Amino acid sequence: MKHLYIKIFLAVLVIVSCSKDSDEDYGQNSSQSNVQTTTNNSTGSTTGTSTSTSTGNSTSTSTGNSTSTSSSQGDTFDRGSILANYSENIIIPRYNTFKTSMDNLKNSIETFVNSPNSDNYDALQSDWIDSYKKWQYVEVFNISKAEEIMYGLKMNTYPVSKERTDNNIDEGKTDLTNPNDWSAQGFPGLDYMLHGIGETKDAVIELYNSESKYGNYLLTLGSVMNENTIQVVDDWTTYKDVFNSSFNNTATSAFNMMVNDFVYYFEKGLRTNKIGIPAGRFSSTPLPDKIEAYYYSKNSFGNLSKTLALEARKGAEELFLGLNSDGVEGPSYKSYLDYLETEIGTNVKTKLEEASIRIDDLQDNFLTQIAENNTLMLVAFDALQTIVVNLKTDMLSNFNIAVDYTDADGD
Amino acid sequence: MKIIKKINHKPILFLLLTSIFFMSCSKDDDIEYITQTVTETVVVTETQTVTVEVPVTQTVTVEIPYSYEFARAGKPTVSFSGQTARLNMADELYSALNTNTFSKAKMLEMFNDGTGFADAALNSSGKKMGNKTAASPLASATVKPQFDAMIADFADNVIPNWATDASNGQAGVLTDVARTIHVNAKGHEIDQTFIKGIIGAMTLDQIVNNYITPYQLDSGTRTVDNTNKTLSTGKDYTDMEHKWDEGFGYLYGQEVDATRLDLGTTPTGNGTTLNKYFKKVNASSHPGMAIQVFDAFRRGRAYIVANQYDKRDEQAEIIKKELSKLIAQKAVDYINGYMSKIADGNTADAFHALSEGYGFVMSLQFTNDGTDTPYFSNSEVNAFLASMDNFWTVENSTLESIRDEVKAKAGI
Repeated sequence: MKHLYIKIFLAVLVIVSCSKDSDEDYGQNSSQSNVQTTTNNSTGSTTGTSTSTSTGNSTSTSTGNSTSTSSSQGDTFDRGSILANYSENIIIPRYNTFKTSMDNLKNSIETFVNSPNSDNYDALQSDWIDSYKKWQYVEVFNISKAEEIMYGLKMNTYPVSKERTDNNIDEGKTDLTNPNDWSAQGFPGLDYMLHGIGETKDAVIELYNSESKYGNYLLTLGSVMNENTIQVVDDWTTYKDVFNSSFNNTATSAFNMMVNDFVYYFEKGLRTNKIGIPAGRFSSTPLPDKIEAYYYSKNSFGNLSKTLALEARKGAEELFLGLNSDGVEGPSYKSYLDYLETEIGTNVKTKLEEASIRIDDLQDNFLTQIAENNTLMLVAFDALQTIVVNLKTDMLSNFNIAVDYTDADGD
Repeated sequence: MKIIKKINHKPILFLLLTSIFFMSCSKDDDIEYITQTVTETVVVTETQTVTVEVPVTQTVTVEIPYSYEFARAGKPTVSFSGQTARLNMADELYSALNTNTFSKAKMLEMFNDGTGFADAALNSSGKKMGNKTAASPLASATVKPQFDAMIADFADNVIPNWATDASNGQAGVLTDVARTIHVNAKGHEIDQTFIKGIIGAMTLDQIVNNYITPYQLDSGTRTVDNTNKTLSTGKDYTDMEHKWDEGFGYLYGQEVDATRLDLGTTPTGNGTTLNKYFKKVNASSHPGMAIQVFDAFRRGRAYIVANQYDKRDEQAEIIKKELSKLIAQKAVDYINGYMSKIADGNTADAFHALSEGYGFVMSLQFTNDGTDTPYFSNSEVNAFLASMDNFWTVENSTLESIRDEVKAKAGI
């Protein structure tokens, strides 16, 4: 059978030039000739002549089967393979690791409240540090149950509100679901309960021995954190299959939400909250009291802010590269970018290593770092910011995915 | 793709038809338009026993006004009052840095809090320079504190030595036949280093690295909203239109009438920041720069209205390249100016020029060569600044080397 192909390229360029006959400024224009290139030579002489050059011949761009134009993605990469690798080798293992640590933390809280002594305090503090570090690997997964119950905000909103927490302690509050209580619970809440209600370890322990309200609120924090964690971890047993199969390019697919969560976390959770805000990047002067784990440093118990920032960066790197807990690479945003034959993945990988060095340059105590040489904080911010640009504009546009959050830019 | 490959084996009839119509008409409203009708060809494939490719034409009409005037349902959609406010703030702060009457707290308040100005309207505008200084996604966060430090240096060291003779290591006053200036211990006239730095760090950076980039224009749902003409809450413009206009405002925000037809050919040079040098460079070393930039703003805005985003970005690229060239040109000009003045023995006049040059060198890190890359990175600029830091001891050869590097990189 004979096939007949006819291709017709039709380029029509219509230029309508309208001159202005406002009497105020350019009255004589009204009697102009009708040749396009000379219509406005008495007004803005340079404007009329060149406007038509760029448009006329860019015609035959949108070829294709008209039924397929609105489908998901322009490439054939198996996006589902990323989701499967992430859920099975990264997300669920990380949550399980975190949950074990969370269980220990809850038990230590109960032991300490039953017997507020030095050894039990040390054990509790050690578990707080351990689970706070592991938390850095799961905060990014703000999806499904975690998103529904605002898990991340309940676990790690800082700075902790001293006033709100003091009030809750006095009231014996146990329901912490009100958004105003997000800054009075979670890891920052524990930081205050362990290092903020008194300025020394002895003073803190003394408070727990003298007034039961402290122990009661500490128990509440532990059980709320644990219950929320159980909900999220349990959810993944059923959500995993939904997650793995939801890779179409729609605003609500797991693939799109996860990649947006990753970019958002990198920008806000890591860059802005851990470094940018305390370093004064978004204010006229630095705001050192907004560091993560503030009371731990402020009252000279120890320093954790830098460690947490390094852990968070490492968690982001491993997710980007698709590393499982044994350090083996699987399908990931990086491998997808490589598949698309762009340098972005490689550039981000290099920049992530550079960012690690810049964060590591900082003192363990962010309060003294900010006071003595805040420029190094800003340099660390720059090292993270340059990655944000790659992730948010370059990576997402290569994936053909829209950013699902907007920057407020103050105007 | 597979279908197209098959086509290569088959007889193909190729028809190219181009028609151009020119029409002209008179309008009696205030806006002039060029209407460009671009007809695109889309090939739709239907597969049966016979494959027939049926051409479908899509027509895109872009109305480009001669002036920077855009309206929707009769209401103007262009607004950049926030930019005008910041440019006016820059002028007042620049004046403050040229007298010994303001306290450090007051000047820092003006810079960071956007209050303390003589113009009461500025104080209630809610705008601040500080949070738009080196604030684009591409800017280094280390730069903004450098401006705070300039203000502090001026208040702490220059004002107390207002009548002291300046020398190497000593802030004070410096006079020659051409002018009298007040400098810090390194010979910097801080009103100049500050305002020329702000030209890059605020006005240029906000335009070329923020407002006219996809980072702002396409953020969140802005592309979809613009395509569907979903307006910003309570406004007559879409978010994307407004972002573009805010970029426009950092260049033209102090024009008395930014809608005039000859805005492109004759910028007034009002204010102390980018527009001032835009006019100068257009009138000297780069004639035609002003109209190129204006046309690109005008067309880019029209392409936004017409949902032609690739064409919008082509116009953005023109703006990035041209305005960046301006910064490089002024850095070169003032370094040259310094060398001829110092050769004439006019130290005050020479230090004044070099202070301007220093600020423009600082601004180089905010340039954008069209690919979202600056001519020189933050660390490269800091190395330049360190090498020229002490005006009392800097060698001409050092300045010549900076100048030549800038010329080479910017292609001027």
